[in-house]
Amino acid sequence: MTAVLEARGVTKTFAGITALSSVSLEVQPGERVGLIGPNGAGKTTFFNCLLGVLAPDRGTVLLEGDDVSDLPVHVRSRRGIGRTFQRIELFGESTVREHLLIAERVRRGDGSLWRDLLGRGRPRADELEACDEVLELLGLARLADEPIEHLSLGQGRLVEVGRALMTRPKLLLLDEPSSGLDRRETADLAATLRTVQDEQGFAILLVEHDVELVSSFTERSYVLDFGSLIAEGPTHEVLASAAVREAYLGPEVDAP
Amino acid sequence: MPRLLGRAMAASLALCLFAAACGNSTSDGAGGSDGGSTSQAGGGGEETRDEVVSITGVPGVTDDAISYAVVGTKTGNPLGTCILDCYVDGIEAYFAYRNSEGGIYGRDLEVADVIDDELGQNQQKALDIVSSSDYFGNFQATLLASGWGDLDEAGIPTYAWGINSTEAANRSHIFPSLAVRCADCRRPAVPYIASQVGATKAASIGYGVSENSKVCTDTVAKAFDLYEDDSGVESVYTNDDLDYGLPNGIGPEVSAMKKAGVDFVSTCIDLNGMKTLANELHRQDMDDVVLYHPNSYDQGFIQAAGDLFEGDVVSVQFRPFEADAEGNGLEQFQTWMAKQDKEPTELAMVGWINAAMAFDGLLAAGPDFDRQRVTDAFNAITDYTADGLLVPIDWTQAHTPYSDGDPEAANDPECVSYVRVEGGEFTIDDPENPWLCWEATETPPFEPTPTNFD
Amino acid sequence: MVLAASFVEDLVRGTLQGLPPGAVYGLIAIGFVLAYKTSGVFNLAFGAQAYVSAALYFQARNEWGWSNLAAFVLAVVVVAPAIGLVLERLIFRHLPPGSSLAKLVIAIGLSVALPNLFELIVGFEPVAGRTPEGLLPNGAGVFYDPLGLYSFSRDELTALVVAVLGAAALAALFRFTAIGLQMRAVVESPRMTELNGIRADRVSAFSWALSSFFAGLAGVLIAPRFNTLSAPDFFNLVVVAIAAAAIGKLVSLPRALAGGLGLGVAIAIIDTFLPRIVERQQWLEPIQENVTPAVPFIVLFALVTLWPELRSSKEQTDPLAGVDPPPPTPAALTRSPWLTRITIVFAVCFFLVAGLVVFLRADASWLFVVTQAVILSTIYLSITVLTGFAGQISLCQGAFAAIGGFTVFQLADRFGMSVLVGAVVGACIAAAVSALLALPLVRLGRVWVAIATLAFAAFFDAVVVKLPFVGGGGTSLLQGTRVPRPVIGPWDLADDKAFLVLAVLVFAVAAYVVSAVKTGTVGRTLAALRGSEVASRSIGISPTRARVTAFAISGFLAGLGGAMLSIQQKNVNYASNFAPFAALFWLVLVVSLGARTVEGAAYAGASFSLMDRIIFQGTFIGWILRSEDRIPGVFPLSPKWRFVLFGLTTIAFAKHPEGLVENGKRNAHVRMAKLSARRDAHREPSADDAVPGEAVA
Repeated sequence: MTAVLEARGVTKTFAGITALSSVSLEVQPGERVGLIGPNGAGKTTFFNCLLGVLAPDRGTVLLEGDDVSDLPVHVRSRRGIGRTFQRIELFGESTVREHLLIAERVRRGDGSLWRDLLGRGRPRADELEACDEVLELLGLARLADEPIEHLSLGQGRLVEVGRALMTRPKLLLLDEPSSGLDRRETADLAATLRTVQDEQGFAILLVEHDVELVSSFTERSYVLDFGSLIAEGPTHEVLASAAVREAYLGPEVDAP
Repeated sequence: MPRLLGRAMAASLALCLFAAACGNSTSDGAGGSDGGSTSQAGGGGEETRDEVVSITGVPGVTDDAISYAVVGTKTGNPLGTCILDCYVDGIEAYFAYRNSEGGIYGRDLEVADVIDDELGQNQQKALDIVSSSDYFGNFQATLLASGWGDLDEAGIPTYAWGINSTEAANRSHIFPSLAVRCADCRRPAVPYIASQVGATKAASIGYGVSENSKVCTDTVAKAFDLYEDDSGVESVYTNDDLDYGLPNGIGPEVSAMKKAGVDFVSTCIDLNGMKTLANELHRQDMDDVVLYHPNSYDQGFIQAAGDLFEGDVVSVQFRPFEADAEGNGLEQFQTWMAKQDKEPTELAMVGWINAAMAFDGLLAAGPDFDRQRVTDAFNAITDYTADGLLVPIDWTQAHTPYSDGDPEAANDPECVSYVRVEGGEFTIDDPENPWLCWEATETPPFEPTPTNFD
Repeated sequence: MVLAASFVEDLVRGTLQGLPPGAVYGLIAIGFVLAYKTSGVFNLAFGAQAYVSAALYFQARNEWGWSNLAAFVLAVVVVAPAIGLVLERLIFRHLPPGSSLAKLVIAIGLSVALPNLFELIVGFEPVAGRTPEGLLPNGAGVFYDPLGLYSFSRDELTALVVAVLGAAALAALFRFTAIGLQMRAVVESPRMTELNGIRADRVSAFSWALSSFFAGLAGVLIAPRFNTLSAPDFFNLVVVAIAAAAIGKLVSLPRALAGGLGLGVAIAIIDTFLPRIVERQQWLEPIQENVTPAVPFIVLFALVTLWPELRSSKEQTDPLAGVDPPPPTPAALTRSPWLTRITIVFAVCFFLVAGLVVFLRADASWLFVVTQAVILSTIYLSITVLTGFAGQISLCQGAFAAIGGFTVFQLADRFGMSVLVGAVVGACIAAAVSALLALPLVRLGRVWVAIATLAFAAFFDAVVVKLPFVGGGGTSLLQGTRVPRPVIGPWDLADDKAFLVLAVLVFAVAAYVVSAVKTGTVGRTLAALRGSEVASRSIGISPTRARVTAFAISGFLAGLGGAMLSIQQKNVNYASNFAPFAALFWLVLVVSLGARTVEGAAYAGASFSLMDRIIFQGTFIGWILRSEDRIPGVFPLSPKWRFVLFGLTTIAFAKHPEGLVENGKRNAHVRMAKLSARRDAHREPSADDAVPGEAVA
């Protein structure tokens, strides 16, 4: 089976300092994979290389077997990578539904200036329906017409997920979704994500340092430290391995 | 946009520069004739001046007075020169002079309103005049003449400071104090003046910011070439793309002129630019170079510059104050400016001349006048000199411009007047004959005739 | 060998000749960098501050007869820092760090307001040929010639020395002193510095006093180069100085100075050698003619668009921004439909009545200003699209509008084409130029887009306008850029009332385009990009495509409006309509009144055109008092007040980026909502209408 995402030997240096050293990783369809590591391990850099925000010095990124290394961010998104942000990135002065609507419109790719000028730029019934479905799924239906400024952080994260879902991603990249959320909110988010994933069948790559979330949510994990992969395998095994505990969790913390 | 136009002003400034530098007015012949103020056109004239005819329905005319508006640039004038206030002084002095003789047709002439067009609002102010019934005509001393088209369409007699020649073109109700018909005709005036001051190598410089300033520069350079054999003055340096306002100075250009041995510089730039140029010449030990100023006939400005402009030549658009005044309009001007206790400035003279044009138009139209009749009567005058203050203007032709090579040139002779700066004062070579006039042919012969009009 | 020797001599002389103007650019560039470093403000008002000190020095020295020292103390030591302190205290202190766009807009507003305010207070008027005195006695009369090639006046030498010493001293201040470090830290994060026990507000006040002092010093030092003091010259200098500052990436003081000197020298060398080369290589002539006056703008544009290091210097964000309380939520983002409907009905009634009055009662003059208001509103819609929707600041809308106007002129003049066809062609050309211009700009930070477009506007003004196929040619030489009025079948638009109808129709079409864009794909895409560029890209939005589209639409509307304005005035009137500074004022106006909505643009158009007539001339008071004769003597107010007023309104932009009009509407809605809530509360208490959740940081 072709992997949804495959990174081969991704290497990146900044001013002579190696941030990523030949990192390889793959995510199979429908899988939930974790990418963990201490602060400064290179998670964010790797993430940006996958998305095309940064150009790696060496290495390739394949999406469903196609090399996307030279494609810009928005094209990779259209090819099936959806994402959320650690520091929440929403569109100010818009409602929840509007966030999803624009994603849906872009996915369909049938919007244009000319259609706008002909008065056919407003949201159509089928688009609204698609949005409402996802809002329902995420439990956001009640907030659909709220301005984004009125939402809590946890709700904001869900909107980000919803926005990403509208692109019908084959792979959803979650960047530290637990940051800023308390324990309960994190658990709720994880539960919702699992439900949605069961329904839609996309793969998830979770970048996270909340060990609890990673262990409960992912099946397989990679561990990054000082720019290199130091472990990979089923999550519970990885978290239990001595090397990982040493490098990341510290010797005094017990793996769950 | 008062106050803030800065650079953009350059375009319009270039127009005035060009008008003045090329300085050819329309006239009917080098010989000239008596002042046009007593012309018979329109059935009016001095003998009917005191006749009173009841007039109704003509804007700005009551039984007691004929009212005018004065529009000019005050706020936002980037040149920092006195325009509107000085202009009004001249108009009011002339009106006082005429009113002291009993006015005209039993009515006094009066300035009803003075309007500041704030540099950018000339059209709006013009439309205010069009809409109002308070004014018979108006006077315009503006840097950006955007409203003249509307005034012309509305048929309102408009007497104007003659620096916006392109805006006056083909508009029969607009009467500028200086009518420039040909922008790019090669005329002998500047080469002749150069030869008179003993120059042998000439430069011509101007701003590159508008087509007109460039054309002015190039036309003078071509005239030097055309008359090189007669004048003995060779054109050795031309620069028509100086940056407006000379923000980077003019050092390299002056060095190049020095290298080329330039001893005479004809300019198409404003008076502030002239000062920068003169400073740079002084710095590079070229104090002996004679500058030909198109736009610096301003005693205060020359005096404030110390001896920077010593020996320079300054062109004048009317009978210079230094010329003989006896028996012509200059005498009246000086008398009445003194009576009004106002400075006899350049713009005051323009105002005086414009007011004279207004009066003479009324006089020519006759006691039963209206706007159209005044315009028509004035446009029938073929040799208007404002009582010896101007080169005779043929108002039947003055509204029509033409280009170099047009046979029309044969009907459009050139006359110029200039003064020199000596000891910080303006002096004139021949006070009796303040003008030099060239014969009207397509390529006029080099030698002019000293001329007087009064 | 002789040739070589003379070449070297010319080269050295050219270099020397470039130093005095270079020192001027350098002084302003240093001040500009200083302000940017210490306050994070892209201070386009720097020239205005310098002008105020220069003019005050001149006034005290020449008009009031003070001594050099006393005038210097007043203008530079007292007033200049005082202005800085006032600006800091009243305006900039209240802006959150990182709001570089708001600061830029406010700085533009100040550059409009300050000189006018100063002139009103002091009663200063520029006088031709009254060159300001330098700081040292007889500064313009004493010359020094160190190499025997070119001499410097005492004034020029003073400016040069102060520029060098100033750059060195300030660089040392930043490197070696605590306050230098603190000033930079405060710009990045006032919170962080306060955690370290430093009073951020005091440091920030010191920064402003220092950079304003330097502005004053620079102003007084460069003033002797001007034969007449006027504010626009100082503003133009700032544009050149930004090019110099960009060479130092906006942070390095010595490099800014070097950049300034380098520009001065480069221009002098070009002016020395290019004409000689052109003598032999005639084909280079167009380059000489067109490029020479525009060197600084070309350098600036090239630096901004082609130098990646400069490009990537992102707008700062405070790492501790999260500690600050979240910015106040814009009031009532969603409006109830019935209120909207009432507003629309009210507006329609108002315009019907106003229109009727205009048609029945207005004279030519009123028709002119009303028509102008409608057409300007069309142009302002271009700012609505670009600034309101796309969040991009363009300072060259005047150039786009001028393209429309000149196209109409040229097509009508050369081919006798209908001016209405010309207007559409002109709009299309403006759209194309705008889109092309956008290509290198779309990846830049917003401040850089503003600067690059400013450079383009200056370039257009210095070079493009005079080209024979733009504003020149034989006809313009003889009778200027006149434009005829169109005739559509039996409908003769030479009649001003008929033309007003056309103008309203064009505005209606433009307004439809803008609102269709707003609610359609393009508007939503732009809104998304404005909200978060990275998030937009993550859902597949191409920022390049979206922004180029926005620029093209904006260019089209500006070009269309510019063409209409030219047809209305029957002349392009470039200088009074479309000059760069005029366009700057447009932006100020639209942004402060409301850049997000069609109404905002309409209000801005009305303000520009009608405010002067109605308010400043006292007409409104006259209406109230029912008599023109009873208008109080203070009217008409000086037109300078208009610039002061609108210039200062931009201050509100920081708090209300949606504009005063929109803010007013939102507040009104909140009040209405409260009223109705109170009414509801009487009927059935305890509807849970609390805002769900807490605000998102």
